[in-house]
Amino acid sequence: MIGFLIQRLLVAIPTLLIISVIVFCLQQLLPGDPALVIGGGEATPAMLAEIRERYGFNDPLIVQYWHWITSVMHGDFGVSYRTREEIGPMLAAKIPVTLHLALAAMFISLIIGIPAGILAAIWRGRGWDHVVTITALSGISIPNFWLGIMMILVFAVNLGWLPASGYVSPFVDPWASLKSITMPAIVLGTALAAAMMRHTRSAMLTVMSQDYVRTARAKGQREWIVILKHAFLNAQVPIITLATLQFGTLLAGAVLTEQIFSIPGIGKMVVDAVFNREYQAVQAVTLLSGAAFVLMSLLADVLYFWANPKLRSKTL
Amino acid sequence: MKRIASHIRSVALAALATAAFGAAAHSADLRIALADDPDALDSMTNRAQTGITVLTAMCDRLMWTDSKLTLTPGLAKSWNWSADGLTLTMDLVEGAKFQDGTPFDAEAVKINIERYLGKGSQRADDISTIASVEAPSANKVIIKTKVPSAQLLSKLAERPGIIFSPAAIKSLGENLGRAPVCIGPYKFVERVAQDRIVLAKDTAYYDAAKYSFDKVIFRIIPDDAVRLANLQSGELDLMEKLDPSNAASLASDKKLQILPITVLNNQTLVLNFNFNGPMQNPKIREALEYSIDRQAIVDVAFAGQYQAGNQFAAPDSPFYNSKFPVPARDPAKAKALIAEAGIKGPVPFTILVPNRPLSVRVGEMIQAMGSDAGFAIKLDVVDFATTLKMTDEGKFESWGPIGPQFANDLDTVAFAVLHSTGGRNLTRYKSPEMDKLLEASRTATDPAKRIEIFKEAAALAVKDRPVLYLYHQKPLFVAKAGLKGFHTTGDGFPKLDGLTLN
Repeated sequence: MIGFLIQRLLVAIPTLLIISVIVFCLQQLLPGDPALVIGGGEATPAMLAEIRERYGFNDPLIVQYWHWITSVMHGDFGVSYRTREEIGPMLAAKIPVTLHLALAAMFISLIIGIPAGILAAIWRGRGWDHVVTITALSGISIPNFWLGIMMILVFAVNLGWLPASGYVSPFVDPWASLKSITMPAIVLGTALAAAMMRHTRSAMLTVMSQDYVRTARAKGQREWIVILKHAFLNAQVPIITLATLQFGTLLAGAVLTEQIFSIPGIGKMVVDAVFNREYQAVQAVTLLSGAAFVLMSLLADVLYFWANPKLRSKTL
Repeated sequence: MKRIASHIRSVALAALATAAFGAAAHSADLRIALADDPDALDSMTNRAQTGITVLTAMCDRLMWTDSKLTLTPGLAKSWNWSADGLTLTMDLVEGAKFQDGTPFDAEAVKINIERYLGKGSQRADDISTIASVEAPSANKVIIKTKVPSAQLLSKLAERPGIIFSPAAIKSLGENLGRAPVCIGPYKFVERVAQDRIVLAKDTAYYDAAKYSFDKVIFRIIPDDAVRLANLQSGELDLMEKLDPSNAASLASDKKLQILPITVLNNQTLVLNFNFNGPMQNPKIREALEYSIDRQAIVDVAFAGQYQAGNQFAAPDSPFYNSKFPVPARDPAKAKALIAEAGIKGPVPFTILVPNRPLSVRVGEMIQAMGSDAGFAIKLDVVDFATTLKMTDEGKFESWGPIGPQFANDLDTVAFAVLHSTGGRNLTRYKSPEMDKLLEASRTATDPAKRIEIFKEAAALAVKDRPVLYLYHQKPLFVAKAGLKGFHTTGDGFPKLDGLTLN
């Protein structure tokens, strides 16, 4: 198991390097000139030349990439030329925020999606199945920004129960933190719950038609034991795959939700960075997102081991 | 059941008590929402308007302009020009200290102005007429200029008038904007990128009694609707940039007040004279002008909150040339002018529009109006950073609506756009007559004469039409009804002295 993990981590290094090269090349294709964004419309040609020289925009691409990647390897992600803030500490401040939001949204997704999916599978084709399916479709169809603004109007403006926006760390004030994360987590989590419910339902339906489930029932086992122990445990693998993928996406930043609720996470940072042509910040965030996906994929593998005894016995 | 009801009541009461405590705990703070994340808090490199808002709350300037653009004392308590207009002498306030406790003196002013003139400064062009700065005594500064410089005082009442602590300049270098140290009522505490900037009262500030808040918290909320929702829910005290279309619905809200301000600015359609197309023909430019109903744009796109205009100064400005009023829309005349120019069929024409909702709204209105008046207008909607690149390279036929957002002197909105060497002259307009007028405006130290020169320049711009002036923005702030004493600098940034919240 440990050998497997080390092997996977080693594979991650070239993966991240390839990602960094692709991102670096792609953003050079972005129209726009960072010197003009820094200098603004009123900058004289001399000012623009000075900006290009200072930030190394005149260097060949390969030189620019080399400077960046060697700095990153030394833990230096560069400096935002717009705010003069160091990108490394900026990212370090945003990761816990995004992680908190991702965990909260995932929690909502799992507590709604999995039970609803199981119930829909049990009562397939009956009233509950239709209710859950329609709710799931609505969850996927309702745009985040609309649901977010509606929730703000109802729970912040009219009822005054929750703050309209902003983020409070749980280490600063747990109650205020819970209030600040509730609406964004619900907005993000309900959309994910819909997909989770559909996935759980379909995985459960596949498993429940298997012989061993029929056998368990024939043995006279109670129905809830059949469902939870025999069916659900065997339906976990596709659910784990989806959950880890969803979590990886969340770690890359929930742009719209962060924007609506003014949460200073990674999504908001990358959008601002793209619009301001802050190449180094975009590269840093993309690299981080790539690392998040690699880690999630690793986590999925570990969870497969845990969920599937056959896999354990083959590898160990 | 009774027990459950009792629990619910207890929880509700506890929540109310928490909310009340929360409100009390923050009563000495002023919470302001900004629409964009500021850039570096260093006036030498600053570009973003929101950065100036924060710096205005933190830092005094050498002088200020009030809402009528009259100069008022700041760190310079008085000043005078020599008879030849080449020497400016300023007497500085005494006993002031920077937020790091170091004393303020003439040497600090000299160091700062030389920094603004130096390498990497975005302000060098603003004060390029300065030849030298001297500090003959602790409270006296003498600035010598290369030529008489009528606009210099206004520039010293803008970003180049902010004086940072020389000790901070030395220790932080080009990273001064991370934690600026200047002289002012509020000092920098912390910044969380894309989230908030917190300032705390500097009790050692020489005029601290005029400021009633212990802390000023700037929150960054880019979405217009969310910013407003935060104000309505009581989490903010003041916000900038209300979407004009929301103004009417807010008028009946007794908990809030709308605070419109007047600032020198204009929004234009920039016509590229180097682009090989129909706009090179003066008759076609005139026809385009007659196709546009500026008042309709103001009424529909901005709910009547802005002001229609056809010159660089607004119609109610003393610099406006009333001999050339805003022309009424006349599609028949536009078609006649197109026919006179010898063009058959709709005139093809492309406008590069920054991808912002209100800009696109204006672009679409011009497109629709043009189609009734003999034009076939295409909109090329792209993100703002890309428009900067395209216009810098001259790869556009016209660009707009775009224009300077704020200024405290007409030179900023006229010279840069209309002078052949102006930094924002993207039209590539070259008129020796215009150059002469604008250069004369810079050396005319007599205000009455300066007004006449600007009026002549306005008349020439109306005739040549390098840009079509469309409207003048009136930025809308919104505050809680209990906020009293709101006022701004001449260039439209809130000043916090005398501001109270009931």
